[in-house]
Amino acid sequence: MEQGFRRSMGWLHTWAGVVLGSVLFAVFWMGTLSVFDNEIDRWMKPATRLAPAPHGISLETFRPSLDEAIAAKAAFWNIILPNDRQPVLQLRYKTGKTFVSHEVDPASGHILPDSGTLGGTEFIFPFHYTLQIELMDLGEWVVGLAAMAMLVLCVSGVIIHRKIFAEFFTFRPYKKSRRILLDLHNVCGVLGLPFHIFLTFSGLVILGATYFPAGVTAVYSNPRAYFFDANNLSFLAVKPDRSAAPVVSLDEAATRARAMWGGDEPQTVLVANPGKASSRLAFFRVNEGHVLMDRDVVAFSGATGALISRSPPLSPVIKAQRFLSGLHLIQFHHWVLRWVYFVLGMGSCVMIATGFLFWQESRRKTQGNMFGFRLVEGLTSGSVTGIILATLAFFVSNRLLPANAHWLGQGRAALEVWVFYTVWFATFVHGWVWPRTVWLAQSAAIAVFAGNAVLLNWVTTGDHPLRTLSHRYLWPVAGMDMVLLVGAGLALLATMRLARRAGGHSSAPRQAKGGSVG
Amino acid sequence: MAFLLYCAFALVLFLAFALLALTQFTHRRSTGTAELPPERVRQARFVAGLLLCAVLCAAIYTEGGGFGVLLWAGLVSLAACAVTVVLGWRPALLAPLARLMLFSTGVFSPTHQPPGAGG
Amino acid sequence: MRRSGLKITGRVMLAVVMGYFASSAFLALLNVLLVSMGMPRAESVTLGIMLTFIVYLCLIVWAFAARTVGWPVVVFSLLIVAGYGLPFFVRHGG
Repeated sequence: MEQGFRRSMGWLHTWAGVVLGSVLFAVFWMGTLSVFDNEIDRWMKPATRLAPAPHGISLETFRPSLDEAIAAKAAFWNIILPNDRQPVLQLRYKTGKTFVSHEVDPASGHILPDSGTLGGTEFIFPFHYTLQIELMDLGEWVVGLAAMAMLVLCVSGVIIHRKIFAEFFTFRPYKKSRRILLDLHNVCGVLGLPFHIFLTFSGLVILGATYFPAGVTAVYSNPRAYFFDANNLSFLAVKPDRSAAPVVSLDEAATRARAMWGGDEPQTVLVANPGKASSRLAFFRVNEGHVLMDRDVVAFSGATGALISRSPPLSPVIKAQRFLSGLHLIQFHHWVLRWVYFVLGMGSCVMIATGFLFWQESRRKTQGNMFGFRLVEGLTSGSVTGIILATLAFFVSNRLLPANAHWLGQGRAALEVWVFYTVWFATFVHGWVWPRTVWLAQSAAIAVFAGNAVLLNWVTTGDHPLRTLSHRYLWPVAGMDMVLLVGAGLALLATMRLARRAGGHSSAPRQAKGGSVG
Repeated sequence: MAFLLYCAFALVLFLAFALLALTQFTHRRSTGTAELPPERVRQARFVAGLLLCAVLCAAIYTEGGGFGVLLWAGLVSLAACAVTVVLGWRPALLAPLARLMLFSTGVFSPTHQPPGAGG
Repeated sequence: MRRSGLKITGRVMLAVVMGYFASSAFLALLNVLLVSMGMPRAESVTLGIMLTFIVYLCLIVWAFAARTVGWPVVVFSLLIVAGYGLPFFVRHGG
C-alpha cells in the first residue's frame, strides 16, 4: 500500500512536471521579474527616471484631464499618485474599450511623451498570470491549471522524497551531473517549499472567483457582485443617472478622506461615471507599511460631495485573504524582503528547470531517439533558456528601437512584444534542430544579450552603472543593470563549463548550469 | 541601521542551520570531525530550534507581525541554502564549529552538572 | 509501472475535470450552508475559495492515489449532483 502510493505519486510528479513544467517556468520566471516590475519600468522608460518630487501636489491640477475624460464619455478616470517605487503620476481613463493613459512628471505637472513600451507593469506582470493569451481568458485558466499542478507537485514531491531530513542539506557538486541536478532540484524544492506553496496558493486565491464562478454564483447573482462586495466597492454599483453634473473639488474631498484616515495619504483617486449626476469619487489609501492589503476606501458622491461609504473594519476571514493577496502582490515597501522574494523566485525557477533536466538526463540513454523525448528536449531548452533569452531580447529591443518606430502597422510597444515572441519561437526551433549544442549556444547568447542590454542602456541614456549607483533615484536602474551583469556572468560561467565538457568528452551528458542562470 | 539587523538575523539563522546540519553523520564526516554522542545531538538541535524561534520573535518585534513572519520565512530558506552551499563546496569552513560542538561535550554533559548548564 | 493510455486519460480526466466540478460544487454547498447559518456572503465566499483549492488538491491526489477509481468516482459524482442541484432550490429562498 505504502509502496503503491509512493509509486503513483512518483508517476504523478514526473508527468505533471513534464507536461506543465514549461508553463510553470514561464509563470515563475515572469513572476520573479514582476517583483521588480516598477524598477523594470524605470529601466525601459528612461523619461520616467525622475528625482522624487516634493509632496502635496494639488489634485485640481489634473482637472483638464478629467474634463477631457468627461468629454470622451469615459466610464472612469483615475489618478495613481507617485510613491517610493513609482516617481511618475499616472492618469488613466477608459472610453468604450480603450484605455487612455498618461504619465505625468509630478514636479512640473507636464505630461511625459508616450514611452512606447509596455515595460514591466504592462507586459511582464500580466504575462505572469495570463501568459498574454486573451482569447476567452484561456491564459488565466492555463496558469490556474499549472498552479494547481504546482501544488500537486509540491505534495507529491514531498511524498516521494524518501530522505527529506537526512538529505536536507545535501548538495554534492563533485558527483555526476545527473546527481547534481537531482540535488539541486531537491535543495531548491525542499528549502524553498514554504515559498513555493504560499506563493502558488495565494496566487490561486487572488483569482479564486474567476476559477470557481459556480461556487460564487450560488449566493451571488454574478462574480462581479462578489468582487464589489468583498472589496467594499459596492458604491460603484449605482443606478446610472445620465444628467450632467460637474465633479466637486478633488482637493477638498481628499482633505476629508485624509482626516478620516487619521492623516494617511491616498494612493489612488477614482472618479466613476465622471460628469454624471450619479458619479462617484473614491479615495484608496496608501498601504505601503503593511503586508495585509487594506485600502480603506472612502467614497463620495461626485456631484454633491456627500459621503457615500467607507470600508468597514475587516473581518478575520477577509483579513486572512487580504494577507495572502498582500504577500503575493508585494505592494508594500520593504527592500530587503523584496530582494528575498526575488532570490527565492529564482530558486523556484532553478527547481523547475533542474526537474526538467533531470527527467531528460535519466532517459537520454534509453529513449534518446524517441519522438516524445526529442519533443520534450526541444521544449525544455525553449522554455528555460528560451524565455530568458526572449526577455533579454525584449529589453535589448527596448533600447534599440527608435522612439517612433512603426512597422507593418505595429507601434513601438507592439514591436517589442513581437521581438519577444519571435526570439522565443526561434529558441524552440533551435532546440529541435540542434539539440546537441542548444544549451551551450543559448547560455552564450544569454551572456551576450544581458551584457549588451547594460551597454545599450549606457549608450542610449548616458546612465552608466557608476552614475546610477551614485544617485538614489537611479538605483532602480542600477539594480536592473547589476542583475543583468550578474546574469551575464553566470551565463558566461555556464557556457565555459559546458564548452569544457563538450570539448573534453563529447559523449558525456550535458551539464545543466544553464538552468541556474538568472 | 535596519540592514545590519537583517544581516544579524541571517547570520543567526545560518548558525542555527549549521548546528542542525552538523548533527548529521554525512556532514560531520565531510567536515572531518568525529560523530557526536546522541545527548549532544539533542542539545545541538535544541539550541538550533531556540535560535530559530529567537529570530522569529526578534523579527516580529522589530518588523511587526506581517513583515516579521515573511522576512523570517524568507531568511530561513536562504540561510538553509547558504549552509547547503557551504557544505557542498567548502565544508572545511564549518569545521571549527563542528569541533566546537564536540569540544564542549564535557562542559555540558549531564554528569558534570556545572551551574548554568541548562542551555 | 505500465499503464494503458486509456486508463491514464481516465485518471487525469477524473482528477482534473471531475475534481474541478466536485470542488466547485463543494464551494457552492459550503456557501449556501454558511450563508444560511448567518455568515455574511462576502466572508463565506472568501473563506470558501480558500478552502476549495485545498479540497481540489486533496481530490486530485486521492484520484491518482486510489487503487481503483470506484470510490473517487462515486464521491465526486455525489458532490457534483448535490452542489449543482441544491443552489437551484435554495438560491431564491436565501
